[in-house]
Amino acid sequence: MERVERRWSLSAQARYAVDWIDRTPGLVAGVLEAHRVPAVPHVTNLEELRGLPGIHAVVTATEVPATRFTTAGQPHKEPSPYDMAIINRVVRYMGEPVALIAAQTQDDLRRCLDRAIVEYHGLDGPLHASCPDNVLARWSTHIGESMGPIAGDGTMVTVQRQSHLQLEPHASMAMIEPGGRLVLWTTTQVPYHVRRIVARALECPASQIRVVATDVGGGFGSKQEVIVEPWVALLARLTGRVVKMQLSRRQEFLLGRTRHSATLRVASLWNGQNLSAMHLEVDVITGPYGGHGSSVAHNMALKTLPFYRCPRYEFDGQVRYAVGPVAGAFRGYGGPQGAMAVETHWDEVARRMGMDPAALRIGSLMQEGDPLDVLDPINDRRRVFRGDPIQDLIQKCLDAAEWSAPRGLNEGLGLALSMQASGVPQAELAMVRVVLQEDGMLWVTTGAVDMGQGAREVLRSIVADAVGISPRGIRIVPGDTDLEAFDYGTYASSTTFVTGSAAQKAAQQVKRQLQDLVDILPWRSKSQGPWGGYTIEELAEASFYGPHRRPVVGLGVAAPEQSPAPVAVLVAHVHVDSDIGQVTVQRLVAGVDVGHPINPIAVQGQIEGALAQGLGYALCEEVHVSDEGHVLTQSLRDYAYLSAMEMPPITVILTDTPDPDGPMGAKSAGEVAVAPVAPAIANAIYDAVGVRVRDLPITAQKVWQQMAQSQKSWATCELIKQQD
Amino acid sequence: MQWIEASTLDELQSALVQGYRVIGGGTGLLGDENPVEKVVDIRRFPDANQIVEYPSRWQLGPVVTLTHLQAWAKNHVPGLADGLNRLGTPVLRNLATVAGRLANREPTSDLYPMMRLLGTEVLVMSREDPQPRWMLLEYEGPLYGANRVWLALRIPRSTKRRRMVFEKITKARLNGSIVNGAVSWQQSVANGQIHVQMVISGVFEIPCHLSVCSKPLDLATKIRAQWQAFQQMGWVPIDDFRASAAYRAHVAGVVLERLLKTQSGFFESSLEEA
Repeated sequence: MERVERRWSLSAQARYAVDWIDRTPGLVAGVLEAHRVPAVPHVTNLEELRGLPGIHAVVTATEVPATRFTTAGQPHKEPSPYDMAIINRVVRYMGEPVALIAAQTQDDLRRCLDRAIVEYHGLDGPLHASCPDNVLARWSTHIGESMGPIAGDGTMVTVQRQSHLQLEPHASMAMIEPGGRLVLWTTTQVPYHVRRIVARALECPASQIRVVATDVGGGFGSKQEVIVEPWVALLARLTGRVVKMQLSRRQEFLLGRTRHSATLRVASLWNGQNLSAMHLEVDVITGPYGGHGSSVAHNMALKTLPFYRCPRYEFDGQVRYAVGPVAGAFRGYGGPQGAMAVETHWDEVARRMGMDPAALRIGSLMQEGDPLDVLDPINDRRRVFRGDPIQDLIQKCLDAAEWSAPRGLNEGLGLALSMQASGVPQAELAMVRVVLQEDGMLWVTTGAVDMGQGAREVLRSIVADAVGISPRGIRIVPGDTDLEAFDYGTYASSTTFVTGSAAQKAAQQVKRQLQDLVDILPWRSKSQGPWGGYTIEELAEASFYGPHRRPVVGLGVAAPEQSPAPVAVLVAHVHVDSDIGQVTVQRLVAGVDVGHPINPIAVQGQIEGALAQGLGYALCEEVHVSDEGHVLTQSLRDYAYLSAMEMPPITVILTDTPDPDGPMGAKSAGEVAVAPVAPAIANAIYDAVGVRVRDLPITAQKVWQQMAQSQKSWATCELIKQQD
Repeated sequence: MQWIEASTLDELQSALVQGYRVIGGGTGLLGDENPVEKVVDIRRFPDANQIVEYPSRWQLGPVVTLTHLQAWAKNHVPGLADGLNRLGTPVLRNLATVAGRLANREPTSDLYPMMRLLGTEVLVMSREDPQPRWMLLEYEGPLYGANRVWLALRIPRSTKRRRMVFEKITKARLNGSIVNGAVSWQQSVANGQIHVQMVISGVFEIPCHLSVCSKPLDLATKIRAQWQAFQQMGWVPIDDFRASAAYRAHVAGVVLERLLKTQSGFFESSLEEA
């Protein structure tokens, strides 16, 4: 085993946080996990633990800064409540730190954990004293003139917790520099938010912290959370040593975050085939801490209701604290939950009216110029829909999926739509610095990170296009807060649109400065080089060492008002095994409007990845939690997820309609295709066997139960008929 | 972690006495969460990753992978090859070993029903008893426990005359297995009677074994009766987050019927041939 490690250290580049951890000597951080919640824990043999060989620090709740913060990586001041300390005096989820430990080795850490004795004083009542009824937020927003009460129960769906299942676990390493600054290497989507949140948690100025964001080996929102960074930072400060930590897969399930579970109800009011009002009601479980809860809940409406033109929108809801793992940001961010409710409802309404579900939708779709912020009557014209007519995209998908063809036995097709934003509307900021180096390379410094979505390639393409050079001459330098390229981070499908806009602006400045330089240099024949006869290398040299000494530096800032909405249309083709309820997805046809796809292959990959994640959400993925708050699915043996072999054939139809505000005409692409999968499959199952499953994931057992119930109801009807 | 390699019985015995553990499969056991202080690696044991043909048996080394077994089975036990194709994914089958998959028991085991029907035997040694012994593969008993080492497995060649079919119902292909069933059958040339064996896993904590010898016409009835007897014996179906007890029992019934249907096709063709 040693041989392998040595070979690795000699050959590999440190690219991911775990590489840094493997190669850097330092203390190992660990968590003494809570086993009973909610409770006040007490480590009865604390001094004994501190005296164990190889133990450098054991810290409990009474010894950490009292400042509360949120782990949600959002811009200051976060909409999420400050309801968490580095170690909380009350533990509220299984696995929550009772104490943090810094040990010389893993073995020392394990011995310490094994010897720890913890007594729990159990608590009754609310999880947080500030919320006596455990309700963190409640709202009722009704926009437009009422056309009368919305009758009927509508459509009620329940959606589950889902794990991000990102390949790379959370991992961070902290050290104190000479001079006292803290340096954090971490796998994060939000380096600047990490800096600010850790600074708050440690009660120190943000400039006393440097965050180096490594490449991210999978995030999906999980690394928009600041989980392990404050822990290693605190221990590094206490010990003065390098402290590192990497969560295990089990800890990812316990200490990581999940998609929010929720119950949603949709009802609508119709005047013939004209939609008069839509009502969406959500009851969202945020877990024992509130990060992202309210934002995610509101996005359940904002990503679904604007799709359909309607004189009145009603959105009621609440976010509740509950035992179990903490919920957080997750690819789609409210969209998948909202789409499951709204798109299932549209299918039900269409069936009730005896209409084709596609035709009913097409009759009510939003059009170019329609408002996107339908729940904000004052600013509802600030963001409007622009893009290809959605009905055209729907028609393309229906044709590709052979919507009108006769179905085989127990086969069905289902349709669903979804929309996303391109960054958080009116809440994005990105700075990008483009500097021409001595050798003619352009260095692009950004606070965004590459988490496998291809940010590097996209930013490189945008800069290359704007400057007019080959992408090979561009180096992207991401994610180091000391490099003065502030960025809200890589989330909300923002990087291409927001950071890309900043990169484009910076690159345009660079191009102007290069042209200015050309203008003041002696004239040369254009055949000698593309820039007034000069090559980029010659201009670079001239900018530093020529008579005018004028370095070429561009600084682009993007704080967009717009956040154009990409749209996804999905048709799912399923077969249902009527004996056991097993659903086999035979094909997915996805039509996506992402504006102009800068890198079509990467966009295709994003869409396929999103569909895969949506498919797992639809069919099998669920973080099961016992009534006491124990996570039952603590490993990849227990947590059901789909493998590559279960992916059906996928057809992706990309439109190419440049958005006027997007860099190179691009909108976002990363999240939009997750949301329609579950409702499209639910609708396809109804089409196939006539049963409606409104409870995700749609397991074979649930389909079978619905079929059995349906047959029972049918049998009862027959019986009643006979009796009559 | 202390890690030694053993390539002879003496080295292995010595390692076991010193407290080393043999780990078959379950690579997660070596992670941070499951510390093992002493590990003995038997991959260098003679024929550990080989399938060797003997006059009366095929012998499998303990670290033969499922992919290897599948490739071999195509020519020798086609039913096993087909069944293996439904276990996990190629990536998993490239890594998972036969002994690892069997020795890490679980009620929803998928390989066990097939290997059990093939009459697989396991060569076992333990710290207390250094003399290796062949034992029939069963779900419980002396095969399992601390300090037991599976040195080899063997499948009797007579198996070749048997036909086998496997059915697997799962929440997701890689995990979330709900019910697995395998059926094998063999017709006596002498009296035309058919010997059918079935193993169903995932319904009860222990896979259940059904065995009937009958004329073809009575076979389905007898199997169903035996299955009902199992259900009435007071065994409690597994009820967990993967599937409810009722659903497992229902699915097991469906699997049973499907397996019977498969073999009835075989009987019909056999009778026609006869």
